[in-house]
Amino acid sequence: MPVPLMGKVLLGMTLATVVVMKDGVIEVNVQENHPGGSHIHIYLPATVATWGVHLAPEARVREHLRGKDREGLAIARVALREMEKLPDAELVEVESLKEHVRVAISDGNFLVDVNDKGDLVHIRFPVRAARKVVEDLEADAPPET
Amino acid sequence: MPASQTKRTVIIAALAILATALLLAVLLRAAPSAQAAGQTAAKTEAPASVERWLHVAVTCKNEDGERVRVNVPISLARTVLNSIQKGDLNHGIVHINNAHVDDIDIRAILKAVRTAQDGEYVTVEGRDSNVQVRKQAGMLLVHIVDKSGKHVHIDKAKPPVEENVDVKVPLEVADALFSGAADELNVSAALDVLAKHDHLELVSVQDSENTVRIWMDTKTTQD
Repeated sequence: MPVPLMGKVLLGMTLATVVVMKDGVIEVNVQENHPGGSHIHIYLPATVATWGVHLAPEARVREHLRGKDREGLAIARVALREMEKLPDAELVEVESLKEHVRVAISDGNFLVDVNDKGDLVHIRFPVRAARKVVEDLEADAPPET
Repeated sequence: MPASQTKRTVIIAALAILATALLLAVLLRAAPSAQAAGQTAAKTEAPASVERWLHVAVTCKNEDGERVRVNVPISLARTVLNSIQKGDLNHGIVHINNAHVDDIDIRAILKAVRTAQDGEYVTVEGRDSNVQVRKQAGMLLVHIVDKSGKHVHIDKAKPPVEENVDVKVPLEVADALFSGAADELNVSAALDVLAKHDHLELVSVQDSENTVRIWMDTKTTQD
């Protein structure tokens, strides 16, 4: 492989590693339980979520956050900051014959598992990234009137 | 190819492999959780922590057999509570302006109960309910039996069943709760004191339809 190309690959891999390591990985896994049902399984660097807040049109974000949401965001920020310190734990579990929902914290990630009559959803979201998104939204929120 | 260029190529290749390995390591760290989808929730077995957790378990006795479990660390509850300033809730303190407690000196009652001997203080036996309040080993214990017949048996043909409510509150928690002004409940201070206990059964409700249990311990999960 020519050296310049190798350098570009190296730079790309290093950047990808930095991006992934910075905020962690978001994982979404959806499996439908019927013939021909879709199966979506994606990994995304959590940095994408934090970038998303900055890339979204500011006016639209402000419009959505108008009203009393700023206070809710402040409470969410405090809660998420506290959750970052938590050990692995199961926060909520709802179980019945047809459904099973579980929200847990594992290795600094929110885990959401849903089993709805065989349809499966698994979401993994770094708590730190969630906190950063909330902080960014709070900064963008219009002041309370 | 000159020797210096070969050396540079080898170094770049080694760095590329290292970066790839790092990236794979990060991705593989995330991968095992994918297996979790579809599996029954595995119980987290975290090492015993000094953090106290508040647990709520609700079990419905209906056909679906619904079960709800909530685990909240007391520190989280306290921090979030302290950050809320809305309506009657102000940084962990609840204002009870409309509670009509002016005529009752709750602090005096608590003081009297605290200094008194263990025993049964209140017993009310009525047609609809029995209420029993007693003090035991620094705890205030309340036992209520509701016989009003509001709680219909799942099998409608069967007669209504009783509802049993048990509440257990350490007196020091009650003291902390009423440690503020006359029209205030200091929930934050009560949680602080509550967190000093290792294991405590707080509330238990049982009727024909539901079982509710609220307790506190150092475990992050429910058994």
